[in-house]
Amino acid sequence: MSDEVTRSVEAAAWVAAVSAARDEGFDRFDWLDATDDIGRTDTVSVVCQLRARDGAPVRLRTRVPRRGGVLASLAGVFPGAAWCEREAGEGYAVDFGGGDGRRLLLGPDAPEAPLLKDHPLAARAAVPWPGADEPEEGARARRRMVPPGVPDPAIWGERDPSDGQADPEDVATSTSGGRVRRSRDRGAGR
Amino acid sequence: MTATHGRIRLIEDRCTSCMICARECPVWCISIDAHTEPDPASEASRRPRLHNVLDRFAIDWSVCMYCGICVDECPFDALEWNGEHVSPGASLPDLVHQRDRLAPDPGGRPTA
Repeated sequence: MSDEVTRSVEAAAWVAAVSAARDEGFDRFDWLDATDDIGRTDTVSVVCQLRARDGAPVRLRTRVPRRGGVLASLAGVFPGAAWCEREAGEGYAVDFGGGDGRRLLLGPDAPEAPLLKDHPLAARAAVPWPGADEPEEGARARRRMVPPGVPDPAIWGERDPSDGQADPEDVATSTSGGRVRRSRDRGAGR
Repeated sequence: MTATHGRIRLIEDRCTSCMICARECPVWCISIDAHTEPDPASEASRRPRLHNVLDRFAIDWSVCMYCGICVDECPFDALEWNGEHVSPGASLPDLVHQRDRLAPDPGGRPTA
């Protein structure tokens, strides 16, 4: 949509900015969600879309720290936002202060923040991926491919513990799928 | 093409075994085996070209969620909705359909 407007807002001014947008006429709460900015900045972006009566949307975006981020709840402005905040809070470890802190989707033994990109999908990593094959003699690929959601084994899994913690950028790249960076390149980069 | 999200048909003549459908499938239900052969059209040239020859194409309907991403992503339109639903099977292996059932051409080939 060409008429889409996104406003970047400081986390401290989040509720005030959403209230102001509502008073401007964007008085319908559409959705609220979060994305992980790993590899770019060490934050989680929280995005809220509001609509005006004529259908025009406005998006408000703010950033909170990736771990232990706190953002004031919009439940006082739009009561319906509490539901979305419960989802986003669970998935991305954002504490919506003053909102409904109860868990919505995950069980008590679920991992913390499974939607953060450095949370590997362990069940997938344990299963052979049919897309790993190259169409040549039925052999495994010379260029190893990894599926989305399963990190490069050099980053997670078979990683040499003496290499320390993986670089967040490497984690983000490896979980988006594609070619595995060859160990020769990694060695040359050091 | 808007059609019932049921069975998917494979049009073998169009498939180049490029693996895009298998890689885009969110539930990993497509498996493909292929090998390369020299392209007869390029035999006269100095470096004959190779092309992929499909050996096996299977969809596991017990895993498929009928999202149609494979149909949308195939660059050669080799997959399309069949318009029918998948018939039930007595066991899970019965729901893995090979080329003979995905591409039921006249005089269909035996299963790989």
